[in-house]
Amino acid sequence: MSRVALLLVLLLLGGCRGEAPPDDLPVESRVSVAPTPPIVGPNRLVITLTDPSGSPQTAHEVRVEGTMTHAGMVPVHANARDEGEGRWVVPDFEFTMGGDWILILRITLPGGEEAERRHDLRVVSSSSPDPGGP
Amino acid sequence: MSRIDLLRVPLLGPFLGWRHTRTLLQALCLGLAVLIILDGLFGPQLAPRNLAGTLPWVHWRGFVVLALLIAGNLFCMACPFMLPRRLAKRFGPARWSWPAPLRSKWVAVAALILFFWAYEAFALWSSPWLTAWVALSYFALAFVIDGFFKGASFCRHLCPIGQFHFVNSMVSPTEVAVRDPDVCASCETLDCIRGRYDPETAAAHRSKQLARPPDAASGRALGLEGLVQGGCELALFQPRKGGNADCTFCLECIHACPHDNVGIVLRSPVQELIADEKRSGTGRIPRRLDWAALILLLTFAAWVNALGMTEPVFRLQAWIASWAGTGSRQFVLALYFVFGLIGLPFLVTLLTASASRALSSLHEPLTRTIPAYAPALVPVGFAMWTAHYLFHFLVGGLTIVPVVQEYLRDLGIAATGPPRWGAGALVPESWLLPIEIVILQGGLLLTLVAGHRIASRREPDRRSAGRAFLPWAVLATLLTGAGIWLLTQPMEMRGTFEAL
Ligand code: SF4
Ligand code: SF4
Ligand SMILES: [Cu+2]
Repeated sequence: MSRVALLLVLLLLGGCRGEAPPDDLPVESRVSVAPTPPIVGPNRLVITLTDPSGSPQTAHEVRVEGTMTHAGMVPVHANARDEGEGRWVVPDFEFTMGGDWILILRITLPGGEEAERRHDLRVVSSSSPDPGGP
Repeated sequence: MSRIDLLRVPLLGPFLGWRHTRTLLQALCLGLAVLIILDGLFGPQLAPRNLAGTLPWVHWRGFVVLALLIAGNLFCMACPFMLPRRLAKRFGPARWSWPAPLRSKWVAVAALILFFWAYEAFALWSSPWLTAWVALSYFALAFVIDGFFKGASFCRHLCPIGQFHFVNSMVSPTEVAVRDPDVCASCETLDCIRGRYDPETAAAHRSKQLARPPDAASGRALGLEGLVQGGCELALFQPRKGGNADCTFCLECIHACPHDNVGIVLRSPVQELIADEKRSGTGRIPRRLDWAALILLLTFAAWVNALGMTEPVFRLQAWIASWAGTGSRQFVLALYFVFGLIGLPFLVTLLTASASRALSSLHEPLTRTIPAYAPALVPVGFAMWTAHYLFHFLVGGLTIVPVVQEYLRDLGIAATGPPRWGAGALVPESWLLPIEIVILQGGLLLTLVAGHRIASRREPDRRSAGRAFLPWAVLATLLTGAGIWLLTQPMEMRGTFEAL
């Protein structure tokens, strides 16, 4: 009986795990990738952080995770390097497959709060230019 | 005739023969299904982070092809959708017969096409939420249909997963079969199809002389009253059952037979493809156009489905979009699937069958030639499915580890430590292509053997058999070549960002 109860609790808790609500920290991010469109293999990511007024936003740390929109691929993690003026760079971010990627930026602000920002990217197989892209 | 019988293998035999084995497996799968649905509906909507993004599309698909390859239709055996349906059988009317005009595989063919389209059009693999809803609808549909209709109507006539298994298990190395035909010849109760009743009811039935023939029975002709053990719900009567087509491996027949005369035997993987007897339940598959359509659909779908995740397909779809002058992803994909799953198989088969007939010494309509050879194509198709699904499984099998770790952590159970996001592949990457190619060529080999045996059975002499077989051999070789080409294409998994 207690095992059934435990199972029920687990299931109900399962129902409670959800998407973290978006934070409202004052940081906006832009990502540019070279080459464009990004390719399978190493790419250079340049992340620009601004505050809502558009001026550079400093941060303590920026971690980048790349994950595909389908399961079964190992996510790619990297720490970006601070180049000042809100510019953060990952010189060799390695996409492991062509297709739809989501870049998750975890930005630790000077106060210690962590903001999360997401960007969608379409990576093409390096052998060919993106033919069907918009 | 001493075939190896899995029910007589130590440990495995007693486990499979245990009355509650199926319920146990179903309960396990039901538990997983509930977790998948809950996480799909309420969990993080990033597929690689969600049980519903990971388990069904990476692990389940890998598991089912492996099971079919080394054993048989183990998924239907453990199918979670059947558990709630038991309640439906008990409390619903479950009295109607499946409508006669729909008693074929055509409805299932349509359902499969719809499913393949929906899978791409709504990028089901990338949406845990939609995946959960697909599973929920599945439960509801099985529950409602089998609550109203007799026997396993849902499995037999509708279920897309079931059809995938019925067709591909035609090459599986095991089958549920009679141990000694002589015992069946002298059997009077035919419990394997009628079900076993308590002694009183059984006596009453006997005195009424069991009006209906067992084949029409769908296992329940005599009603539920006094039933102790059901018979085959898929109308497969053991003495005249030949193969895995339509068999869900539910093992009811094994429990029902009072003479302990049903086993799970090892067999040659081409045996069922070349057989031409009239069988119980399915009739003569090599004469049935609906079965031919089902087999051809599943064969070609293996390529269309795998092509859907390579780079060239996006060029093709962009071309279709500009040709049709539309930007609607759903519509472009509908055109793509109508062509890939209906037009192309139809044309290619017509061409192959015409060539085969022209070279053969038979004068027959193509509606005879096509179903006769269609079963031979099962192995190439199955090999393509296996290569594709095994790819995902081998590349990402271990990604379930961090997903479960994170799941537990989110529930406040930290015992498993921080999620190990680096876990992924089950084998080194350099092994993948060789494994896939071996599988494809194994499939080709079986298709060639089966095709040749079918031709030899049909044609009067060896030379015309060779000629009639040739076009089918060419088709199978081309398909395999296309498969190898496809597997060497750059992989691209797209679909969620709306633009084509
Ligand atoms: S399998 Fe068993 S119940 Fe069925 S006909 Fe044979 S002996 Fe009778
Ligand atoms: S009862 Fe029918 S479906 Fe079930 S294992 Fe036996 S033959 Fe197959
Ligand atoms: Cu795939």
